[in-house]
Amino acid sequence: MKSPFLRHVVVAVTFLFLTEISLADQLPAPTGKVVLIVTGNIDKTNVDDTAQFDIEMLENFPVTTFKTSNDWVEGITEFTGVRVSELLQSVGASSYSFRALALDRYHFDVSGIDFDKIPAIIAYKKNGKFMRVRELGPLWIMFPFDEYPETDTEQHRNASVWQLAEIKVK
Amino acid sequence: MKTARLTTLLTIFFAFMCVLQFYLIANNLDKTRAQLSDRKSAGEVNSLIQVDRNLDHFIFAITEYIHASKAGADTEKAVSKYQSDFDIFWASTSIIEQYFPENNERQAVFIESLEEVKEFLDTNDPFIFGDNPLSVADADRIYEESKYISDLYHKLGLGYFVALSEFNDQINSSTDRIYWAFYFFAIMLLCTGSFSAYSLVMANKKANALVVQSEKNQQKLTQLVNELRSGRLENKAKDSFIAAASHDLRQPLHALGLFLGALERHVQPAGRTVMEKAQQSSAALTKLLSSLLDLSRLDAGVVKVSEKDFPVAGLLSTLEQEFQSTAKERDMALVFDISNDLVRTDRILLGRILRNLIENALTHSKGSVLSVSSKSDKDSVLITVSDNGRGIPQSKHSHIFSEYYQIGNPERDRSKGLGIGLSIVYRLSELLGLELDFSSDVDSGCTFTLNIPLGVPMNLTQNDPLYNDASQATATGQVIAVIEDEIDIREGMEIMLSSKGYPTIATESADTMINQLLKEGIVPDLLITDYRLRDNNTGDEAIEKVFAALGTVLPAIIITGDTSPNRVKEASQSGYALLHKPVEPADLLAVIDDLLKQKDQALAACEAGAMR
Repeated sequence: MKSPFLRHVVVAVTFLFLTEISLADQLPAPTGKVVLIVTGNIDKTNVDDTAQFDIEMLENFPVTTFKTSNDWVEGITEFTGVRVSELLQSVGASSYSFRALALDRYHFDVSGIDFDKIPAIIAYKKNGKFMRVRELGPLWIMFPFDEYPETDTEQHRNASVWQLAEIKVK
Repeated sequence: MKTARLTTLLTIFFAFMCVLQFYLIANNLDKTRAQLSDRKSAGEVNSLIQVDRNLDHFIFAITEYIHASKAGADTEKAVSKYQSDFDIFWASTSIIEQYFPENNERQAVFIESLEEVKEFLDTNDPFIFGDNPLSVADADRIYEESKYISDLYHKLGLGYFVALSEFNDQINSSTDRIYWAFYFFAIMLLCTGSFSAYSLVMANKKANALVVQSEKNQQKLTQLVNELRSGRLENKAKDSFIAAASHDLRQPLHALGLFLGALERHVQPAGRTVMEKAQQSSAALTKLLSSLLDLSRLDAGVVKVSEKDFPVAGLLSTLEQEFQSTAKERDMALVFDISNDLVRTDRILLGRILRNLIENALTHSKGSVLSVSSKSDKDSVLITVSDNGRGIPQSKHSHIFSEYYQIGNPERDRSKGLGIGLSIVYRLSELLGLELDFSSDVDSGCTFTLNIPLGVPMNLTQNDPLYNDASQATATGQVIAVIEDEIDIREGMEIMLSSKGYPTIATESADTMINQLLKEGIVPDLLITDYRLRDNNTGDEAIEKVFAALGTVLPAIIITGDTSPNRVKEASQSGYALLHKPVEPADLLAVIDDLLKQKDQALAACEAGAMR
């Protein structure tokens, strides 16, 4: 590396490469109606300091589906959505501790739940259909209560925020 | 045994109570837990608050819209706002449906209210999400209806508040119950524990007591086994057998003696020898039975000691005469060395001791010389009975005073006696408080030494009637009444007493005696009665009867054939002179003589007193 030229080339290539990566890593901007805004301690953003998602963006994540019963809907319901862990990782959240805010101004501080282990989702479909606001949609944090009996606690129930609108990562 | 059972029962009871309490606690805990986990109240109330808030937001959005449209401003934002809030309210209402209260009454109200809410939602849905924004009139109407719905929710909230309070009360009371059960359980446990500890201590004590008891029993058992080995148990059985048997022997023997005494006069010189032999045999038999009786009387503890001061010489010389002939028969020289000392003891019983010792030496010693000596030693008199016979080995010294023990008589020749002589000696000397020493060794003879307290000359009584020769007594023509239910003995007594010069009236019962005496107008001088009479009457009862009938008190003699200690005691308690069957005629006459003399003296004294 004695040649200054070579050095420049390397630097330039490296810079270019880094830039490309960071460009590729940037979240795409939402095109449809924004349904979820992720704020707080996150690395990746698309609108100002926030990461905003429309339904289509959410559907682009790997899809997770499970059936479970819960306290709010009679019988067993099938939920489809994005794993909480995947969504948070996609925005480079520093932890799984966050405040979930809902349209009805309800909020709950979620912490101490291992979302790597428990495949909780931000559901956007109930029984294969998108949910209206009056059906507790459009997004609903849902735990696989039946499959993971350890989630049968008040904390998990409280963390099952419906009409989810915003996630504030701590 | 009883306390042990009680202890067990109580422990079981306590254990049962503990289990019951435990069950109650567990049950209450379960119930409470079920109540708590079933509880939706917190969630319900929260949802109600949410619903109310959401409704408020909707009402606010409608109001804003009304203001905006009245002001003619842009209403687009206000429309999307009330649309969104309408949906949010709808959603929260759908959540509320999940929380049906359990109470039926409230459930009805709840369902009714929800129906109205739903109707509100369904009716207004088309308006809210209509193609055009709401008309002001519709908005006003919806505003009014919303207010009404809000009131409904407030009522529901109040219901929940009441329900929640009730629920809290329930939880509190069941918590209280759990506490009570827990405390009771703890107390029960404490009681059971302390009771068990107490029982344990008691059981331990009992066990100790049992150990002590068992040691005692073992000792007793050992003693019994030893007794069994040494034959004492056998002897005890023998004792009771002999006591029973001698009673039956006594009656005929008594009669035999009386008959022989009566017969003596009528025997021709040619028959004298045979007569004497017969009398000797009878006497020997009487003696054997007497010694058995002595033993049973000693056992009964009814032998009365009357201590008197008397010269020992008189007694010893009587004994010398008594045993001279026997000694001659046995080829033994009888040497008496008599001092002139006074002794203080019971003369009759001392005589019996010495007789037994002398007899024993004559029968068993196989020696050539038997010496009896008396000498004073400080404040006591030592009477020694010693022989030069084969002696008794040291090892057997401890046995010689036990009953039925005969060293040189394994074949148990009854002509050598029963082996109770020395045991009587031992008991009598104990009774009199006399020290009895014994020394002997093989081939060096035996020496018995009696240590008797020295007598005081002033108290000297002369002419002890029992040991004066009774056969010498002279009849004075005094009348003797005899009550005896056995005909043989009655007749024997009558003949014997008559032959001695006493006019005798003999009957079988007190009643016949009274009849006869009253009929003939005779008052007897002396009354003799058997102790056991017909129809369960006793001698002393008979005496009292006769005394009562005659209106006077007479000297009386009771003759008893009972050797059983209790009967002897009973008879001797009556206070009259008591003789035991078989009675040698000489003994009987001596007692009669004595009593009559006493009566005369008393009479004389009375007369003297009367004269004065």
